[in-house]
Amino acid sequence: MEQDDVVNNILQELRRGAIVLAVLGLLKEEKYGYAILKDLSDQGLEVDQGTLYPLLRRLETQGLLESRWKLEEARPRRYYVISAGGQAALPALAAEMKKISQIVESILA
Amino acid sequence: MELIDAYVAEVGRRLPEKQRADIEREIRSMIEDTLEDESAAQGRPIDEEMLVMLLKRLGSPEKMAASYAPPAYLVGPALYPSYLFSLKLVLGIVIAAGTLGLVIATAASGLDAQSPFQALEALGKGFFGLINAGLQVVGVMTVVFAAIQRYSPNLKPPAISEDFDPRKLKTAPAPTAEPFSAVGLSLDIVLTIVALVAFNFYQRFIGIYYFSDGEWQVVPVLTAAFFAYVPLMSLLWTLEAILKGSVLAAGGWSLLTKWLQIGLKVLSLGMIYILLSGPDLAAVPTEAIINPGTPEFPAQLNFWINQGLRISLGIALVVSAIETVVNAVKLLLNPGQATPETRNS
Repeated sequence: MEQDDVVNNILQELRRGAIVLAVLGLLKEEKYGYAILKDLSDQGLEVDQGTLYPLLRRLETQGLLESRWKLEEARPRRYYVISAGGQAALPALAAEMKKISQIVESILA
Repeated sequence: MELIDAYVAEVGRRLPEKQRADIEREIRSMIEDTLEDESAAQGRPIDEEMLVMLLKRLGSPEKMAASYAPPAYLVGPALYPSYLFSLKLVLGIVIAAGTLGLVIATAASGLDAQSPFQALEALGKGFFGLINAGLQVVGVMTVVFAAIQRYSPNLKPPAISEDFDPRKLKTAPAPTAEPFSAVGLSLDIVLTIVALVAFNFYQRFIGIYYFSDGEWQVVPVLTAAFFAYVPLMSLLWTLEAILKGSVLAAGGWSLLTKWLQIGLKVLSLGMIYILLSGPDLAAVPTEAIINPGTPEFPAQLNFWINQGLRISLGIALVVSAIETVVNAVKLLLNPGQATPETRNS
């Protein structure tokens, strides 16, 4: 495996945890997939469709999100929103992420 | 947009049936949203080129489907330990029963065989039958477990015990100086079984072969005195096969099996000594010597054959005795250290 591939794989792993938190944070209000993608991108977190959409489904299966189909502009869109379980889990997840971030920062300083 | 239909269908074809329609609908919605956004950003209507670029970015249908589908298992992690355990158990029983059947069947056919080739054919058929039975067991067990996996998709791996006590861990086997060779041991066992079958059931086919009168002829050269030792040799070979089989099953040599191996080696030395000090082991029948030259030639030939055999056995006895003593001393001084002799011979 090339060095670039190794670094890219590690970067993807690093982002994966952050994306979960960012998505849960964004979905305090109902949004459809593409809108989530754009919001994340606007915040500087680039995520490809092949990562985001399966992640949304996985979080829904885990009970952290809820979804429903809505017909808009003659096109069906699936809207996601954080569930009660997701709201309960979010503060602990955010605190842990902050802690990890601080620890890594202090190690790297 | 036929390309969207084709892409979505190709992804859907690779997804589990239950989720297929839902995911297909979502991918279509995502593609349409993205195209609409890009059309606005580029200030031109949606066209095929724009769609092709987007689909390229999304990746092949295989890649897209793989990101949705959970890893597919024939036998998943929850079932795998049970599968492996059952497979080893059933395979062990079938191979043990098959080997026993093979020995009995070849013994019977060996007694009836008219030529060594018929006997060899019977032995070959038996071995292929055994391999075939083994493969069938693997196939059937895999199908059974795959069916359980298929119809019980929510199986979970066994719960990990929280009250783990490191002191209850089994003692790890003593480290070995060289890697444990399962292939070498298996080969030893197979060769031992072949020797057992050959010396017990095909005695009349052990000899010198030559081609004459359009067919192979065999001249038996081992004497009745030699065959009188076969039961004793068979006992040693059987013990050796059992020992190596148990080492194979345990996955390595232990201190006990290493000492048992040295014990068997000592018994083998005793066996060689008995062979060495007993009557002649080989004799070429006088009638088999086509051109004897002088009347004394057959007796002289047999004398030199037996002298050669005795010298060979003598060398084997000395070399083997030195090796055994060296290994025993090494084992006494450092019980954790195995030697090649105690491992594979």
